[in-house]
Amino acid sequence: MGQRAKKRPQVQPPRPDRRGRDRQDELAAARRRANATKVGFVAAVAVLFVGGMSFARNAYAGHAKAPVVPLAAPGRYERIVKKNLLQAGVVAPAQAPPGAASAPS
Amino acid sequence: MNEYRFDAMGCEVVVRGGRANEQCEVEQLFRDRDRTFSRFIPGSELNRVNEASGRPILVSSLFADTLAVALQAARETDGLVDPTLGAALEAAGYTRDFSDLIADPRPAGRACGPRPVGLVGRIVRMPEGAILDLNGVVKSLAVDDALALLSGDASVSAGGDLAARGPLTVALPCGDAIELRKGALATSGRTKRRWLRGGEVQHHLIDPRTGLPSRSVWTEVTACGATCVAADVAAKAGFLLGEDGPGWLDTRGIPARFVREDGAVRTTLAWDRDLREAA
Repeated sequence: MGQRAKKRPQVQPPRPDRRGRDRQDELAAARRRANATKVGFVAAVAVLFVGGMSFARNAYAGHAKAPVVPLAAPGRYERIVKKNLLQAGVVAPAQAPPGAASAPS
Repeated sequence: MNEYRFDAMGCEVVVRGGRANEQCEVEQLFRDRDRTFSRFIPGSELNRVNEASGRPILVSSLFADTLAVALQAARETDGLVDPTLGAALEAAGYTRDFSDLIADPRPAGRACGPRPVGLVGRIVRMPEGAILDLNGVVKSLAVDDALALLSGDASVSAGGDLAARGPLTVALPCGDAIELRKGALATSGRTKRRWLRGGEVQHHLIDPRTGLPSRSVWTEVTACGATCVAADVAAKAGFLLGEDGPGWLDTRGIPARFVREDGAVRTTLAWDRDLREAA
């Protein structure tokens, strides 16, 4: 034929060992990105949760903002109010000659 | 039972029972209370509070606790036994120790009635113009505290305000006697601590409704309380209420005995019930 075969530039297929290494690098990078994304996502959720909880504790009326103590009046107030000053004693008919006297002073 | 006597707070104090050192502690207690609460001892804590009229002042725990009891007594007696009637007492002429009082030809004055006292912790604020007089509770509180210092069966009597541990037979005004089984007895009246001012007889039981010595129908009222301060406050309130006194004490179940000018005696239902049940 005489026709000269057109010389095509020959593309060298990647060598199997190089191709495998690149593939592994890509996978490792993807894993790193995936891990970083996961850590970032968990951290963001944790921050959001803590922030939301703090906000709720401080802003929502039903949340205890301090350690819960029994609902009660202060001790001094109770002592003064609840203790009835005018309590009665007991008398009985005299059994013996008087040993003392009660009189205005 | 060994007996120990001394004079304090313008009356004789009789201590029966207890050990010798305990009886000395009782005397010390009365002297301390006198120094703290006397209107007639210059520099007493009471006078310092009265001088600070209108300004808050820090007082001792003893003073604050005593004032708290006096204010409680005022609340429980609907203001009858009030600690802020010192000005009315002075207007009536009670301006010095009772043993030094002499007849004064000047007419008795009139002073304002009860005033609100501020007490927060140990900080007291007296309203301007008011004079604190804690005699309504100081002596009887001292009797209660003194009895607590004594061991075994014992009794303490200060001018007739009497508290006992163990049964004690007690003579009453205008004859008669009873056994004090539990608690204390106190008698209030106008037969002893009285004086002449402007030709009229004055006494130390001021009626807060008039600002003047009470014109009660009773001369002496004896009440029996769980403590001496309870008995004293009840007796004073019963006296100041006049004819309403027995009924007022009956509603509170307080045994009490009222004596009129002519010597007629009236007792409360609780008094009669105690005597009946014991018999």
